[in-house]
Amino acid sequence: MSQYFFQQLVNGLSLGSLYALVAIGFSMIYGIVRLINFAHGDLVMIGAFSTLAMITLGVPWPLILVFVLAIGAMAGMVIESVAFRPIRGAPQVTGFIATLAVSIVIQNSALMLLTGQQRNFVFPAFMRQRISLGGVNAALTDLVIIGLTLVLITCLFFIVYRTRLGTAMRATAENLMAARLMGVAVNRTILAAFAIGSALAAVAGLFWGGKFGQIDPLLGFVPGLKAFVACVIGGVGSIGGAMLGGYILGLAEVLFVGLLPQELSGYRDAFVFLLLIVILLVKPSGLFVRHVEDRA
Amino acid sequence: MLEVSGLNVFRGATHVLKDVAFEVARGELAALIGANGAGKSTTLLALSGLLRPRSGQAVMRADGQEVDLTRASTEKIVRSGLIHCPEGRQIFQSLTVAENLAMGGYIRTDKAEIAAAMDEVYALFPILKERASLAAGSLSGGEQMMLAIGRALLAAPKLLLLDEPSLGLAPKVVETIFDVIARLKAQGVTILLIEQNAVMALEIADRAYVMENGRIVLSGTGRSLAGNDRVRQSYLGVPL
Repeated sequence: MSQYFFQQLVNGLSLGSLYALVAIGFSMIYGIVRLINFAHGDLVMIGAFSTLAMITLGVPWPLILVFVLAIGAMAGMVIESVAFRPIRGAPQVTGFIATLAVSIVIQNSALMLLTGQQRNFVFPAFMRQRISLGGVNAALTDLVIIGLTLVLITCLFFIVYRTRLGTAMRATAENLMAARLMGVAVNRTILAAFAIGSALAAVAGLFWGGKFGQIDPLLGFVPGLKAFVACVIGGVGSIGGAMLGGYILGLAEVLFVGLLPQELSGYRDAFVFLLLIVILLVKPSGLFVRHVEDRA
Repeated sequence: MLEVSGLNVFRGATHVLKDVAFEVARGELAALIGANGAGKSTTLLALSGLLRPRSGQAVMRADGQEVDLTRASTEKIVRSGLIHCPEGRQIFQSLTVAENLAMGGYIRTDKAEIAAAMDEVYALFPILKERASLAAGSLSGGEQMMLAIGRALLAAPKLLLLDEPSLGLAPKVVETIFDVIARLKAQGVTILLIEQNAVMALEIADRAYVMENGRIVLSGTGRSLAGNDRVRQSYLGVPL
């Protein structure tokens, strides 16, 4: 395997990991409350700045990871209970506008608090080294991102498919009324879905900072939008689909940049959305969903 | 066990239930019969807290505790033993049969008890055991109904509300379902049964109510209503 190809693969997988982490939460939230949550990307920003603050304070790295998960979960729960719970049951457009409002509030609060200035975000030196694997080498940061994402996704799948809470979440997502008749406290279940999804997005923020080296209060917009695209590619509402959609998107982006002449690589997002359009033309309900049921 | 009086329920601007009053005694099987749109399902939705009445009382008494069904949350109502098996089965199609049953036992915590209850349901409906790891959406209509009843039983109901358990099923399956209902009654479960199949419902009911346009218009024992001319003409298809 050539170094060039390997480098592109690692790059694509680590970018895909970021998209997958954000997309999974996006999809969980849509699945359970049918809300296209455009504030979801801003959790990435919250995660990135929380990490930066903790680096500055000298918090050890393993703890930073735990705290970022916790901060993301808390932020998600606050957003759900303050902004989305009061409008539950309102028409979908209302919810959609509410998520845009939340996004604007978060972004502008961050701008006021942190200014719009770009900040350097530096992983410790040992993370930035390159390690070689049988003739090829890759940045440790990318490998850590790929590995930790797999661990987190495994934990998530365990929760969703093997625990009582996960079963209740899937039941609530499919049939809210029936879940209530089982005695499920649906508000708590919905809160849990927001907490889990937001925690994953916040960790993606940690990774985002480490991968790109600079963060600013508006950085959530792009991952939020890409997560939406990843969900649509995979089939909205399906967690496995969102994950695969994220990886496909990351690999496709890197592939475009790698294959296209230099002058065109600045248009990578245009090609990403072109890919989205093509996929939607061929499989309108997403690549990994067999049939679509619209809940009344 | 269940006492309802002066219950008024609106859905949007429509006055659906008008001063509804009835009762179900402990261990009894009560049937609520009536035409489509008479307000039968709405009655059950109001009892399980999914619809809030505008006025009236609905109280359940079980094991010395009293629950005001017009105020308590659905979660609390379910936890106090009122289990509603809703119209149209409403099983979780994407979950497996076993997961559906587990959801039925969601309010219970003792794992051994849940496993025992699951075995009982499997004994009652052996087909569910065969299909335990399949997605519930792949079951036939009759099997889905069995699953819906089995799921309700997992919650160890004290008062079981059954909404049209025979709707759209083959006669043979209907017989199985009614056998199970009779067996539950024999085990001491109090049941409120909604049926369009008035013949079968009145046959097994201790007490029955007839609902028309959101009002209870007749009541009596199952047998006396089955002999009532008005009921025979309107619901049993017997010409006068």
